[in-house]
Amino acid sequence: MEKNIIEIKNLKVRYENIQALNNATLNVRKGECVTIVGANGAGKSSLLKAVMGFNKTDEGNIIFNNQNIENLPTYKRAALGISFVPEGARVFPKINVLGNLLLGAYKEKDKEKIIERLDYIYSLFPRLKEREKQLAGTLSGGERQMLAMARALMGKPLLLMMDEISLGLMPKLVDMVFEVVEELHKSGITILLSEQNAHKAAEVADRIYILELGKITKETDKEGLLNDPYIKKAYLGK
Amino acid sequence: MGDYLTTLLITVGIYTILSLSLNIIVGYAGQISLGHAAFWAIGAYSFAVLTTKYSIPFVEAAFFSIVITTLVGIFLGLPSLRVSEDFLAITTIGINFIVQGIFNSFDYFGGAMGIGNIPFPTMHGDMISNNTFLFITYLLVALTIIISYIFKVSWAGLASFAIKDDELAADVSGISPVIFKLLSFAIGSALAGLAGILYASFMGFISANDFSFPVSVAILAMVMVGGEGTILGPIFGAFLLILLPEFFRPIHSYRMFLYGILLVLMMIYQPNGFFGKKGIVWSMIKKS
Repeated sequence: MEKNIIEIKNLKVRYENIQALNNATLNVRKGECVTIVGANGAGKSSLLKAVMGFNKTDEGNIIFNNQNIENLPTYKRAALGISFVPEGARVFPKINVLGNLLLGAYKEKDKEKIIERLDYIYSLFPRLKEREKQLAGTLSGGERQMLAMARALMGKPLLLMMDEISLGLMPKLVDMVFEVVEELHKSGITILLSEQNAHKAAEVADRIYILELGKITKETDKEGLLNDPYIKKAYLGK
Repeated sequence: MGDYLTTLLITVGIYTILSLSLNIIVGYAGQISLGHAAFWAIGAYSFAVLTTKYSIPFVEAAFFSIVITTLVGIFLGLPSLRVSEDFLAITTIGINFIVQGIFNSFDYFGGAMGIGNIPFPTMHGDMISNNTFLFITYLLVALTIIISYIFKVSWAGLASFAIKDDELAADVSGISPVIFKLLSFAIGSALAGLAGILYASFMGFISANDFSFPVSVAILAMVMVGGEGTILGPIFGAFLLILLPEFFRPIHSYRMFLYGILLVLMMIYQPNGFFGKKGIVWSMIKKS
């Protein structure tokens, strides 16, 4: 069995009087694609933000690549190899597509490696190559989502986290984005996704965690997700 | 060249350095500052104190004044790590008042009487002419332009633009907002300190009122009118806003009124500045 890239143990996050995460525990192994499925307000984004350092954790541990990271600032976590695609495709709107991508490889000083990564990104997202000189703020919603993912990949992450990547996209674009996720998974990138769309989660994930009211209530695989009567009723509408 | 014109052009040069230095903080790193005159004051007062109280030679005093202003600039840039936008604007106004208050109240800094007898540059024991001072001023303006350009096209400039555009996205890309915000304050305040040295040396006398809050507003107006984030914009803004009141001098009773109206119209019809996106001057240059 591959070793854990990230281990989250008994994580607690509180927003004033609201317990957003309550003893959340999960792990992602090298090369895995793991999805956190949950309804709105279940704590999916809070969990990913806590891993990235945007949410202060009250209790618990986040161990990334054998290192405790819960006290590190966000940019240092990114430098260790965690890339995060936040909800709503946060790109740099007044910087062109190429500039956005280069910023994703900010820590890399070797120009040849940067060019190699750019070629890889353009093979995954040919549309971005066509729009290389265009300001990111002028891209469509789907293109922005692709750019946000591409920028995260430019850092050659050990763990790629994506928060609700299908949110607000039309079905055709959702399919396209998940095809890319599948391709990334096949290429060996370790992925942690948060997703409301349980169908899509099942398509790409090796393992799925169900998050409810800040607690991990179930860990299952693709078949388990699709065959569990409770999950079918609650998340698949069957 | 007549004394009036030389003085006017030196003043424009000093304000050009000031507006370009503020542009690094506001235009590149997106940290709104309404207290830039404080850094100008720190440069001017450091130079005045070092030369008049401690008799430190001109060049050494200038060097130490820039170092002092840079260090204070980094320290005063710390609030930008905790507050942003309107809260940062108010904080920087507070900084301007505090700095002005200190220089105005402590006898060490001359108090309300200010500091006089600040040395003018000399060459071979003789004071240089005003025209030579003008030449030196514009050499330093050129240096400021070069520093602005290098910063703008560097990785650090791109990172600062990214923080200005979306701090969260920059943070997750591994770009430290702490480092680049403070870097922009360091460079911006160092250049403002340089402007302070020029001012103190040229005037020979400074008082705290020279560096009041309305001066900070005027410097910010130069950046915004010209076009924040550009290099030509703040230069144009400094020339325009210093020279306009002089052109209006024949109708001097109304000159500040007309100047105010122009600023309001400008912000309505050219919100990104003359050299910013869709700026009238920039569009004309591109067409030609």
